[in-house]
Amino acid sequence: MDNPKFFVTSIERGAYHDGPGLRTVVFFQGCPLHCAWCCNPETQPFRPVLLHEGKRCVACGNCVPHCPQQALSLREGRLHVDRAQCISCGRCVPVCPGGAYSLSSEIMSSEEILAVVMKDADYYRATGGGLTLSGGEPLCQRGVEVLLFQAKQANLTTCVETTAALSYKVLESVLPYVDYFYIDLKHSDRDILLRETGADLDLVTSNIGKLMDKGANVTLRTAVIPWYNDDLSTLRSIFHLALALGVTTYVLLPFHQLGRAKYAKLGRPYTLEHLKTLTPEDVSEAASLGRQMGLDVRIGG
Amino acid sequence: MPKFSVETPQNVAVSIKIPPEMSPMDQLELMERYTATHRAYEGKSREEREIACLRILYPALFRSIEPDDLFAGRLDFLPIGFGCVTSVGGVGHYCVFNKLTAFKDLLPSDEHERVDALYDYWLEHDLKTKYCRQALKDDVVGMFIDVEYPLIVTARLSGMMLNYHMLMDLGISGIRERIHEQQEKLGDNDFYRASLASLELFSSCCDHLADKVRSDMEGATPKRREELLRMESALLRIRNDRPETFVEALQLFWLYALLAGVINYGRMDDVLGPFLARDLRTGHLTESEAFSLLQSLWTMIENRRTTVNGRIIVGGRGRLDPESADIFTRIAMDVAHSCRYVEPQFTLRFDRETPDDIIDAALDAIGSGATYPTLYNDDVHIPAVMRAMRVDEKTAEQYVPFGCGEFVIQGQSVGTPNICINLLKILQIALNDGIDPMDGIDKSDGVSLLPAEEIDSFDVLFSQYKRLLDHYFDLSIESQLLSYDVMNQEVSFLFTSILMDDCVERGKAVLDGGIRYLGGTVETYGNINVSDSLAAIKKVVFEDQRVTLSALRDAVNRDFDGDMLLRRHLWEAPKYGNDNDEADTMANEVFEFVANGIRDRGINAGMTYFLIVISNNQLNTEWGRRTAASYDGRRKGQFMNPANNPQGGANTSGPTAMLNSLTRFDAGLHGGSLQNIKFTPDFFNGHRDLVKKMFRVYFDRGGCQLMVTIVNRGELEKAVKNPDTYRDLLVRVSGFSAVFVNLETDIQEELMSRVLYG
Repeated sequence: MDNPKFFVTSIERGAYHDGPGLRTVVFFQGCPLHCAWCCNPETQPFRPVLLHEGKRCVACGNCVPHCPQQALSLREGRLHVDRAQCISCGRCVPVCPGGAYSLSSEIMSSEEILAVVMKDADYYRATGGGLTLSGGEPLCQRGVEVLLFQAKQANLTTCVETTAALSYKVLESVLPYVDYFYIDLKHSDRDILLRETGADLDLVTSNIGKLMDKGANVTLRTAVIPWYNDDLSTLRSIFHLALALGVTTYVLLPFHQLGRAKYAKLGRPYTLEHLKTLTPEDVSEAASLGRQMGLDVRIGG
Repeated sequence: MPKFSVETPQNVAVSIKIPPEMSPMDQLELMERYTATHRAYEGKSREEREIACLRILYPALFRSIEPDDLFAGRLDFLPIGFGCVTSVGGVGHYCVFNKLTAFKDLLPSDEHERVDALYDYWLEHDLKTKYCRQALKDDVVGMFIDVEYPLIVTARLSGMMLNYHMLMDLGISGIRERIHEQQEKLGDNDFYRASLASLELFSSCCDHLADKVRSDMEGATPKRREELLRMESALLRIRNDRPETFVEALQLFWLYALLAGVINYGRMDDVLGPFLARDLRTGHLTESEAFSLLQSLWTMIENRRTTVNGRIIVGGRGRLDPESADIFTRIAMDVAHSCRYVEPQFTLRFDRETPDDIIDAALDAIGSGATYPTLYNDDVHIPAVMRAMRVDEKTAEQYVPFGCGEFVIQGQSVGTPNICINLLKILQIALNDGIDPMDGIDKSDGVSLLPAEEIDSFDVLFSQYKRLLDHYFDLSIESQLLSYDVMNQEVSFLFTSILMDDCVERGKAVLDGGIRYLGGTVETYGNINVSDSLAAIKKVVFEDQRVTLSALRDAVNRDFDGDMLLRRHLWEAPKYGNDNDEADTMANEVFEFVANGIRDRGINAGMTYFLIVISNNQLNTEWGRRTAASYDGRRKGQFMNPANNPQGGANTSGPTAMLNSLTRFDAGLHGGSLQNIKFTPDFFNGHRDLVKKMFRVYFDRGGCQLMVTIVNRGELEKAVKNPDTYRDLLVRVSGFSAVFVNLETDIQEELMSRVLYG
């Protein structure tokens, strides 16, 4: 497999939040977790999904006869997508005059991905940047180790944003080709973590511990979510866990609702509408706490 | 005779002018005296007429000295008078007819006849009107700014940046002596006599202002009295002698610039820096006094309200005393940071040797939302100017951008942009049998064109477009040369000529063979809409074969009515600004054809240079209003792309991708190209080191220029809703900065459509 193919949801160039320097972030389709605050919900399924953007739709009905599943219908002047019927075949995408439909990802080979990434090689050299894999869970992609290997061959620095909620074998297979691991530590309570995200805390922490033992460069990140983990006692215990694992580099990500529109496009309810968007100031106390405890805490975007 | 309205507004004016201090009756009388003098000198030489008319205007037009002014010189402009640009007053002996008509309302109705008499006289004598009668061509060549036409032309002498070194080194008396020497050597002529008379007039204006200063001393506070005494002594010195102090140098420069009617100033750090450095060194001035003096200069320039001019340039290679100049630069940077003015257009030239603290100060000022300085990369521009203008390195080092970004060589070249060309309109005409789909009028000017039905390949289409462009390029060079002829027949631009190489040496005015490098520029519009249109046609018609060319043409001409799916396919075709090779290669192909087409015509006509400038004020939006829907998916009447930037919203691949696209063009083929970029404060200020390195890469890759607006996400939208709370929100439109809420609605929309990074 020298040119593996991936479901890529998007590629962001000139990114500055996902690892050192200016980076190109490649987002992959598919994640084993189901966090309610996920801002890229279209990346959760392991196959491309159909997005329908209401504000681009003029309910012309052009798409209706093109759907082999009869999943599309006009009701009271609005287009309705029957998600139970839709198989995300994408036949509605090219026929919509307003461009309301899209599939969440397209297939790209590692060669194609790297061709885009290499366009900014000068910027990486100047800023210490490079390639970041994100998602979704990039390490769930078959052949990701090949992509990372090829990136290293091309002298890129590599960063992987992972849940670490997967078999250590996978982490081990990419370890030689990853310069920076950005790992989510979403909660310190086993039950709450499992209930809200589907992640197994023991698996996550054991993976982090093993990576640390191997000398990997690990940064832990916590999305600070009101009601879920934003109280200082929870954060203190998350920080304790980090310290116990030997990690000192930490990023706090204040909760935002930027992904909300995507839920509407997927026809999924957004359940966190009632929560307040947090500013960097809102998490500054938590950051100070982490620093007092000996962590190097940064507030990220 | 071509049809045109003399009342057409002659330039882009966003900033509201300060009304004249003189009463309307006094203004009327002055305009009558001016007109009578102009009439009386009929049949005399243009030089005699010019100086006689200038004596009517000066010192009469000087306003009072404002309480905060630290040097003297504020001028009024009337609808009739003398000038060299359209942004203040008019060109040559001018009448700005729409302003004269508006002026009538300020007078009692029984005086209206007097205005009408002036109006009628100037219909026959206004320089620009004379030019228009000869230059315009029905349906094909229109006047500035009549957006029905594919080509608009004017007569003006924009962007003159004078040789102030000569002024500082010689002083008025020294220049007088030099003229005398040349008179002896080459023989006397009207130009020399009138030049000497102009210098006399300069001295009388100094005396007049010194009188004003003295009268202001009565009742002044001790501090103000001291300032006024300093002002008086400067005026009395520079009326004849070389300046010795910074204040004297500043006063001399400013007063001369006012009388010359120039509105771009140039390398002030190079000219004034040595005086400033010496005064600071000797303790003659403190840093804070220097700051106040520069702030006063900033205010004077702002108060002239030229919208798209007022260039002050600092930094860069080729300065006589870089160390002293950088002292000026550092203080100027602080002033630009603290004054939230839209003018002066403060410009930093830099190269790899520029001290880091100056680059950092520039980024700080930009980061504060000042939109200044605009950034010009000498490492690219100097070799590029050498090729574009065919000059040596030492000369190229003196390049300066003026107005919206056109280059001249300070003190040595004329480069006025008297032509604007709408490349997109011409593409539409080329695909519609010569008819402009916007108004159904034939604008082919006799060029034979195949109907779309008979165009069977992309190459045939492109070459048809090029043929029509070639014809419009011919019209461009003719119109530019004619503007020089007409201006030269009427006036000598005496004050300007005296300080432009080699007018005094040759005994000739700038346009009479005096100027060392006769250049000129053409502003191009819609360049990216054209290349994106061509890329889209290539893909949709000739590669994907979704539709025939004639069906596409019809759908576009209907503004996509009933065919929005086709519009979507056009919009989704490769677009410039995304580091997409296909789109960027097309953009470069269009650029090279247009740039070479104009440049070659200038060389063949004997000019030193005639270059395109990919600049913009807000004409991309104004011309867009009268430009039909285009093949890139742009709707009828919508703004066109700004300067060298993508169409708003077309660049979706991040800042590095856009910067890479921007570097695709050979700077050695144009005379200035503007690049706008918009960042959030979070990115620009919160990650300054990254931004600085990103810019460095861009400039190393051949990026020639950059203008940066810092704005929060959603802020422009909020400003539209609550303009009163956003009175200090500055944006870079392109060739000028503006208070966002003062812009017209569709110009605001164009700015909001530009992608915000960060």
